[in-house]
Amino acid sequence: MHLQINNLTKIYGKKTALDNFSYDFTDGIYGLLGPNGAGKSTLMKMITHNLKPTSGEIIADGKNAAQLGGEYRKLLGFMPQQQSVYPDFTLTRFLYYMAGLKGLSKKEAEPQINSLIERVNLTGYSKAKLGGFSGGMRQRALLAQALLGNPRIVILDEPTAGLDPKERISLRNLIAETAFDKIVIIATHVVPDIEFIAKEVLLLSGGKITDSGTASELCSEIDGKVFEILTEQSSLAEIQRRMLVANITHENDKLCVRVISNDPPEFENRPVPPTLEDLYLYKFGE
Amino acid sequence: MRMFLSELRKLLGNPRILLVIAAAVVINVVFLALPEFDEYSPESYNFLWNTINEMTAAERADFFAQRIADNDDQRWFTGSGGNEFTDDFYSEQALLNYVYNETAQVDGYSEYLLSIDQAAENMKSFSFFADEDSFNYRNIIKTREDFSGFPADNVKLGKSKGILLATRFGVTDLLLLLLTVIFGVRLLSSEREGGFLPLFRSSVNGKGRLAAAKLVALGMSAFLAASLLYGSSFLTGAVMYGFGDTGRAFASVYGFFSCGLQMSVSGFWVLYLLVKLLLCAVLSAVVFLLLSLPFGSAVGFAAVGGFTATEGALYFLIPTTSVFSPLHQINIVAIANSGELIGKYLNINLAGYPVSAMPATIFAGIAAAASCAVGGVLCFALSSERKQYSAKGILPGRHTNIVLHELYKSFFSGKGLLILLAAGALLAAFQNPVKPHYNDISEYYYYNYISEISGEYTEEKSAYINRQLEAAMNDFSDEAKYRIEALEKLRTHADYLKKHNGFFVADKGFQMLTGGDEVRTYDRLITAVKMLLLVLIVSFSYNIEYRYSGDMLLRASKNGRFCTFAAKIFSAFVVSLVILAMFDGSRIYSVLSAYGTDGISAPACSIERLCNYNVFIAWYLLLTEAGRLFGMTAASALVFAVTRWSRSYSVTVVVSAVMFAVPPLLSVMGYEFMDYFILNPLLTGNIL
Repeated sequence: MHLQINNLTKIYGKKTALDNFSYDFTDGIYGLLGPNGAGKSTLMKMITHNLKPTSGEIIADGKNAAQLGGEYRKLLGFMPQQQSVYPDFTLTRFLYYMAGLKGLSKKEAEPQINSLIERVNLTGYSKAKLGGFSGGMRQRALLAQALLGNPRIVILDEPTAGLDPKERISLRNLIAETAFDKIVIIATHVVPDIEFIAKEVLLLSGGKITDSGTASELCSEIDGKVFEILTEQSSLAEIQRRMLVANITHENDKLCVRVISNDPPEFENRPVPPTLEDLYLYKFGE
Repeated sequence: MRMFLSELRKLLGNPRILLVIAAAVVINVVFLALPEFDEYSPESYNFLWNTINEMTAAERADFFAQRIADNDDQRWFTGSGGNEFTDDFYSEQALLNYVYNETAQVDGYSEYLLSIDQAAENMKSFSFFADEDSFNYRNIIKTREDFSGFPADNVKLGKSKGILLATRFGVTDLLLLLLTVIFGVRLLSSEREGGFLPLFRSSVNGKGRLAAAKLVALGMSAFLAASLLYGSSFLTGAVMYGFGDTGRAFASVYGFFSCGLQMSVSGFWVLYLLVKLLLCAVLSAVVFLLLSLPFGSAVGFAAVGGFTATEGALYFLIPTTSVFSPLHQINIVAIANSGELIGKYLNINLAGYPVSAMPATIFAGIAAAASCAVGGVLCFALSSERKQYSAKGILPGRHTNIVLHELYKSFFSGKGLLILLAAGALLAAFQNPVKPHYNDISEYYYYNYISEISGEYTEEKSAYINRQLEAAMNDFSDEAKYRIEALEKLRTHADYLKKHNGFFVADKGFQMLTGGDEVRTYDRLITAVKMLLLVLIVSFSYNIEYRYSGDMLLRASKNGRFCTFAAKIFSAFVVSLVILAMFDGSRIYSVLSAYGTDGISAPACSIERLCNYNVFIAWYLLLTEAGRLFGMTAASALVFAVTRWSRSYSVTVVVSAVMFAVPPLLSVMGYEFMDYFILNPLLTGNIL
């Protein structure tokens, strides 16, 4: 599968939400990272035909998505950020309904639905109404519908929001398992969710791609710029004033402060390998 | 205080709400003023009054005697005559008759007072009324006591039309109800839909105090709206006609000679304002209570609609003399009908004792407002987040048919099935089976003769009518005149049938099903109820995607656009079909069971009103129902458009109800052009 995005632009009045965005996606997982207002949701809405672009085009396997219409949307699986979908529907009814929307017959849908309910670990809840589900259960139900119909392009908006650590790991693994023959685009603020599974990470800011590459490629940019400082409480304010602080932990009666700095800190420190979260902070932290 | 102001700002600081209030005032004035030009202009009325104002009673009598034409006056046929005040003979006569009646009431007031005394004496002599323990006896005595010592000297001549115009306008009350519901939606339903209630309830002042602030803001806004609406009516009446001498007794006002209060016109205005204030309080409290019920917006709206319909039905169906008259009078419609409440003398039957209607209604109104207000505040404050949706689904839904899923949304998710069952139960309780009924003896004979000669028109049948007519004319019994009347009508009808190739059909039942004059009001009221039900049910399934962000899933799927829209419209078609089967199906069955189906395959033109229809009566009935079904389905498409615009269930319900349920009610109130508003010709049927 090949999804090509050419010069996609969306302008709301005087504000440009997405500015000439171009990228080629092939099978694999892509992570979209960026602060609020970076254009992630706008991009996702345009890829899923929820929003019309001001200019630019989306090409799926060489064909214009706008012209393909329903045939293009048949390739899509979308998991929106909002969780409250049809509270009066049971999980089974919801998935069969979504199968109907995706153009699947009952015969095609039945084995897929049974398998997906099991894979998202909701066996036993198929006859319960979605309104009674916890946040995590709803997320898994939404992921199940996104994967229904074996879509070639899967768009996931904040898929792990509201999940406990165990559920997050389980969901991450599920995404990784299913992505071998699909394009999976994940927009998230939870950096670790994509750090280990994304083929490529796209950093967005002000509606433009500021950087892209594998997690290790991107992290290499700040190699030698991440340090851990072991210090007293009294020095913390000074450190925070002079450097980007990524994390603070207590070690015995001292503080261990993880900082990102172009120059080695004047405090007692040890260099540590950078993570994607450090890069995020480096790029988008003030 | 700050909470109250912030709630008030949500209403009166919202440009949309202000626009709706302004639109309501404009609609009120337009609907109030326009019909006043139907027969004669206000200038003509004022001109006539200026002419007769200084005349003595004898001069006035002479003035009218010279100008009012008798029924056999040749000018009625030619339509021309000496017109002094208008441009048209018939308008002139209507004007003269109206003003004559106004003056006659004033001139005859002393006699009216005497007649009360006399009537009491006369009626006491009837054995039926002479029972001292009966309501009727007590009522007569009380009436005489209440009117004894009434001075007639302050009952003076004066123009009445301005007062009547400003006070007898039901549309204003309807607009006030709509505005109060809109305010309630904004303060309660929209916030519930937005999921804000749990947030409020978790804050210190988010329960009782917030509820009280919302209630007061709702009441204040309703009062402001009422001031503008009734103020605009007052000004319209004052500008168009004036109120005459406001120091004269209110019994001088045309139609209010039975006023049981010794008050002046200005005194009436003060009381009128106070009663309207009470109306605002009752309306606000009731709307607040019903929309605070912890059952969701759909049930809240159904409750408001059901309450209004029940109160209306009790007011209009129960006679004032019945033992159930307290239900007629202790009623929000009676409070809304403030002019009649204050200006007309009436006692209600309270356990056999006559009790003055006005204080009883006002006292009950205050009690109702207070109890609903307390109930509403408690309901809002004490209701906790209901643990919904924990139950398992009713139907498994293991299919991929979008239409069936949409039907599930309409009937189960939106509680459409419950709403329809409740409506069906009310229909079964209130709709009595139709029984054969004739307006008078001659009508009975008319249909008997028709039954004898039913079928195609032939010369033999025509000759039979002539023979029967001749026989009746030679019969000098009392009932012969009714037969003659019936046969003459039949003779005329036979000539019509000959010309149009129609059949002799006993069409009494078909008249009821094809929009005859007798069922005009019924047809429109039922249309309003049907449309309200349709709007309540389909609005939910149309809004559910916007409410739960399902629209993003729909747009991203292959069949989530046109197919889903088509499925939603088909679901609305099914809902319409069920509503029609409930209301029209039961009505058709009841009427045809009472009057029979003979002649149903005759040409529709056999019914004179349907002279232009070249189909069988059965086909005409089917076409009317098909038109209604199509109209309801098309209306539901417009409801969908409103949904897309508003993206709110509450706003969709209110706007759609105004579009489809209010116009038939306005038509019943006399605004017949409303029959042609948007899809009304199809929805009501039998109009085009």
